[in-house]
Amino acid sequence: MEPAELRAVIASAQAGRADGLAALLEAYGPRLFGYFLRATGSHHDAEDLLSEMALRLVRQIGKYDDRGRFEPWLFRIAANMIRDRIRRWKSHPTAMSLSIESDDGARAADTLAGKFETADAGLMAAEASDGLTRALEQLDAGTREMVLLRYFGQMSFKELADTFECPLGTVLARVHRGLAALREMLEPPH
Amino acid sequence: MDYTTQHYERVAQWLDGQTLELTAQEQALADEIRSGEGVLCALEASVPATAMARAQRRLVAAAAKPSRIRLALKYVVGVEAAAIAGAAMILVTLGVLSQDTPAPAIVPTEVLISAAQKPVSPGIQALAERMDQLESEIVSTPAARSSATGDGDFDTMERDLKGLLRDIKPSQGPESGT
Repeated sequence: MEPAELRAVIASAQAGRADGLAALLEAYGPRLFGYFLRATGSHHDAEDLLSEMALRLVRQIGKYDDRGRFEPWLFRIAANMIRDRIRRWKSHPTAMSLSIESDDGARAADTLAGKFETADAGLMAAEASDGLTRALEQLDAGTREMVLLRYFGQMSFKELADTFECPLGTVLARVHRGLAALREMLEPPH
Repeated sequence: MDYTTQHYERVAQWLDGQTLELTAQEQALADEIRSGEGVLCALEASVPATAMARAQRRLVAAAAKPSRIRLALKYVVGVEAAAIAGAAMILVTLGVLSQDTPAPAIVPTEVLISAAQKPVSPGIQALAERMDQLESEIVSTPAARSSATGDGDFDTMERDLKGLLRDIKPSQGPESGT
């Protein structure tokens, strides 16, 4: 969406017009879905989160200050939703993503793999069928979030540093290591 | 290749669009990052049409609800103010007609303004708060996510409001009109 068109659509949405809000969802829905899908590793969760995002957009569009860029603002909301969901998963572990990490850093997929191999193998395989999703799940949660927000949210490194409250150099170092690890995992074995 | 925090910081600034003179080592790092980000295009995923349609439905429903409440409140406040102002007008008119001398220095517009600015009665306020509460409950309930629930509740509220409006009596008008 062109900047002038985006400004007009945002103004319309902030005025409470449903067509303006719908245009924003139409424009950013696919990228938001991609972010949710890659962050959770589950189509079901991604669809659920996209739907919840629609509600948050309605409630929070009035708080958007048009002096800032829209995409980072939007994806910060999305990132908070992912964090909320992770917190809920941790406190109610009956429904959780394979990429969730416990407080000591152990991944749920690794912990569960041996225990429920027979019963849930099909479900787990279906959710983790995508090679890239699996590779992403190998990254630590913070780095994965940075990589995803950089790509889907088109955040600058400065915006990532603000979002994660860490130094600029640290953000790039983590993204660098994350991208290198992804490339290594995705390359076919020689 | 080993990079320092300063390397990373400068390259991050350069990648963010700042004009900097990068060293050969920093330029190599920047190229590596850009190349690595190219891999991420494989992350693209098509959003299922049903998921998009569901999100759009929720968005439109959520966008419509608050404005409906605002309209209802404006309607209630407007009708109440009009009723009070009407009562004031009648009292002023009766006061003028009942006297032989010219009308006293009562300015109807001031009366009307004061009537319009009169705080909303506690009954109306309670209903408005109840509507806000109801709206938030509807939006946050799981049932609301799957279907357009809540219309019946709004209809009930609307009936309650109309009933209350019928109960508003002219005696609620300002005393200054007598």
